[in-house]
Amino acid sequence: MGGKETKKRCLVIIPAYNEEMRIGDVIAAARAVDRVDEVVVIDDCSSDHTAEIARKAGATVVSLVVNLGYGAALHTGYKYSYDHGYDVTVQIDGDGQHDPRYIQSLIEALESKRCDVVVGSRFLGSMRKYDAPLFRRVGMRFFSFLIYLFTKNEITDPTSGYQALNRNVIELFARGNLYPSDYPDADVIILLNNMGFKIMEIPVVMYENKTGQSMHSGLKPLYYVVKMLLSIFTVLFGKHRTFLRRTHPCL
Amino acid sequence: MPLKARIIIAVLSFLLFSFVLNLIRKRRMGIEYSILWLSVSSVILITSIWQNIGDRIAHFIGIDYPPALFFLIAIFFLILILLHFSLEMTKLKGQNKTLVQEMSLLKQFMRKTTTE
Repeated sequence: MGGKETKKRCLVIIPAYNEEMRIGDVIAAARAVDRVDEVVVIDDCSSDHTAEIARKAGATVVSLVVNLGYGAALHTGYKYSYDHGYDVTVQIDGDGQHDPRYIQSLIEALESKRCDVVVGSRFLGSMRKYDAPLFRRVGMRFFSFLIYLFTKNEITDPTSGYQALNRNVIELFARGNLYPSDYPDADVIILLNNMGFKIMEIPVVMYENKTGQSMHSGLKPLYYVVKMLLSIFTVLFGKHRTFLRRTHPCL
Repeated sequence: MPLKARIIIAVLSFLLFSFVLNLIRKRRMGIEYSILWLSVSSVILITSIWQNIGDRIAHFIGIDYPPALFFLIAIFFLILILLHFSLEMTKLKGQNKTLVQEMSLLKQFMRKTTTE
């Protein structure tokens, strides 16, 4: 793309699963952002009224006919973005954890810093302290450390789902099967970095999940850590490089 | 190995072999899934019929108790079959995901064009 001096088109993706209480406010706030051209909600087969409320709030709604999980819902949004030719895509969670006012900052950072991905970090700068359980904080530190180890890039908040991506990254994910179905994390950041994409962070404010139901409970944290380590292993030693050379000769 | 045990093992493995053959004949099982089943049943069948081959193989690989050889063969093939299933499941899950995504996007597009 590029070259022409036309205004870049921006899409906001909101993956949502049973978020009827909060999705309306998030959509309204996202639509109020100056640069945003369209808001698309990927409704991951919710059993409540998420889809209707999102539609009423003025969002485009793609309803997955089967519940696929967070990563696969995002992936669907990337496909939508790619099909509709958007230049910049911002992803934001539908549960009200991410403050939509930072959409503008993410887009501006993506353009002014000439990078491919901008991650909104809750730990960077003088932002409000984010209180997470000890195990979670240790886990996040550990994966940040792994990212630094393998990429020499300091990413303080790899779990952040609040990101802006440019068209090259969107194309890579929309056309391939590299994107994880469950919870994209440090693995995706290491993957992008190793493929030569530029990633940076800017500080954002995140609020605690109001319902308190976290994806990490019981034995799941242990599973998550093991899964993520294996995922990083496949990213570091996987066959995706040859796969990419076939589909993306420019890389 | 006792003759009685060998006969029972031979009959059972022959039944499995012909059962799987019949399944692919009726196209109730895909040929790609039958190969491992046919392999395990024929290997066990041959080992049980062939005079002393079981004892000789067991002795050669250092198994003191020859009937344990059948367990070794069976477990080895079962692991292969399960591994094969995991591969197939991964493939199906990926295809299923893509189908759901593309279909949901299409539904959204149809809705847009019909309401316009």
